[in-house]
Amino acid sequence: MKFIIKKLSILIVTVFIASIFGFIFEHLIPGNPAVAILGPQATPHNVAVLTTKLGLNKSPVQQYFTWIKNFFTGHFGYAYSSGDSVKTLIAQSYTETLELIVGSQVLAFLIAIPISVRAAVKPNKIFDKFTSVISFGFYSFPAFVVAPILILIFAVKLGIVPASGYVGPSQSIGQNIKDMALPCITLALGSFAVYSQILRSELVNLLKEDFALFAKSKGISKYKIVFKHCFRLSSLSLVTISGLQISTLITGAFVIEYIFQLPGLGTLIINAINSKDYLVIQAVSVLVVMAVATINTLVDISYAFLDPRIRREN
Amino acid sequence: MKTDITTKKHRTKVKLGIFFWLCTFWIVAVILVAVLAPFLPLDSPNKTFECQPFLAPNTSHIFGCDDLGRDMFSRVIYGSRVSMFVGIVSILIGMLIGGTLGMISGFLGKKLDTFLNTAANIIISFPTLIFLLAVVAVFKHSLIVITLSIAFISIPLLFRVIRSATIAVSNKDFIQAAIVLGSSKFRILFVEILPNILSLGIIYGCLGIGSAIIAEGTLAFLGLSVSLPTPSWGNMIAEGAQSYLRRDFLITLWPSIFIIVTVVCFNFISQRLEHQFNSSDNKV
Repeated sequence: MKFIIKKLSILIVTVFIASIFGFIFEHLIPGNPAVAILGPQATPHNVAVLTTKLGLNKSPVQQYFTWIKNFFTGHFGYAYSSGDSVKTLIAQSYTETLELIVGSQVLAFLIAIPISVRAAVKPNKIFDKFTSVISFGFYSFPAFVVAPILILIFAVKLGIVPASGYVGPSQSIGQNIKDMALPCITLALGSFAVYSQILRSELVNLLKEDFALFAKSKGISKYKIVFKHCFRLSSLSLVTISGLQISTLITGAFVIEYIFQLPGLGTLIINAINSKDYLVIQAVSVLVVMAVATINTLVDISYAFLDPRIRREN
Repeated sequence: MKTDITTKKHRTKVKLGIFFWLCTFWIVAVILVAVLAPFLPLDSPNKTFECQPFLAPNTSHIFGCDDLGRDMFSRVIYGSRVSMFVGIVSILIGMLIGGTLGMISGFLGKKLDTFLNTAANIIISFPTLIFLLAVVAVFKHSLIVITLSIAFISIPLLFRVIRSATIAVSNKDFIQAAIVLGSSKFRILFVEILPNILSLGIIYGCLGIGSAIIAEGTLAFLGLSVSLPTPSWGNMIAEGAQSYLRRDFLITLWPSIFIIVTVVCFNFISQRLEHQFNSSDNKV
């Protein structure tokens, strides 16, 4: 219980700091926020009206509370370049980011599990060494290097999938899968490297435990021991790791969206930076920080529930 | 164990391996070339139509030429200046601040330690790219701003590593002895503890430089690092990958090779040194 309270209080502090940063960010923007919202052709009268409406003439503390209230009720303001509500823009793009992240994780597990099981059953043999070199490599390769190589091979040379573009799953599922294939693979490679290394070392250690040796002495094959006995134990830590990876995944997804021109949150924020659309940048970044902090806390707490050792350590 | 005895006997002869030295050679070479670039007999990296656009590699332009007829070799070399500067300087700053705070916090403990550690954990939970994007959105994306913001991100990470190492060393007998003997805190920190955690600092420093280079490369790829036409590995990859992948993939390939090899070298050196220091630690 003490552990949960500690984690929750850290979460609250993080969200609070993120909100302060978001608030300060709005005030760091060169020029008057009212002018930024209304655009350069705004009349002085309109600016004055909006200044009062936004409460810019009130004290900073009052302004902060107004900002918080607006932010948590979903009033993120309007995009300067297009005039759309920031809320609508985010609602349109987050599903695509989510699809990319979920797809890549499914893919990463599908590749990492069989490979690490095979490597762990025969540790330090050729297959193990080969896969560990490969995953070390993938771990070092940034997305913006991997993606052009994949595009060159699969889109330009082989022409199996398109190099960029996006069709929503509601329009055409087949085309959607084709469009998402390369982005998902690119994002999956980094996660694959992490998962396969962790799962491999965990399985190697578990196979040395008494219960595994006992099962082995009864003549059960190593693969059967892994899948029947070890897997439940190590899947726990795998889930935790994937939860803690969320920050890396979101930022990775942002870069990949930009490369493949997918209409997700990443493209939204990067375009916003280029067009100096500060309210979009502010809303997306504060929301992402809050989401990451919340997910991390939930993972920590659920892990403590499942593994009593963690609770005692703290 | 048997192997321990043999390694102990030939302690000075423990080999780091050929790859370690190849990586070190590569890093030293890239740093030297980056520093000396203006004095080397290279074509100007920004002079257009130095040669035929999309010229294939040949003897006078060994990496070929890009879409504007600029010499790729000299662009890659000049690009290394940005990457290496950001990588090394940001981690040095991060190590100086994060490392010092980590040592003080780990050694003194108590409330200061709890406070700094919680603060570090909170900063770490912020996604790095979001922070960098927010910074470049507000400030100009200049070399200094990017270096400082990457340094800022590295502070809590390096702080954590150095702090836990300091705590481990502080509990050893010789530190306790020094405290009993009445050595000043300053002396204990910098004469007794520092030499013992320096190796860890180097290991994580190398790892950090690799990550910092990737962070700068990512920003440059997104068009948010040094402004064009100044070459940086990231913006060269972006230029090649967005427009000329079909036409001439070499424009993308050269900077990709340089960034990958450099980052892998830093990671490998770090991994190898960690192995080395760990095995010598166990022997003592």
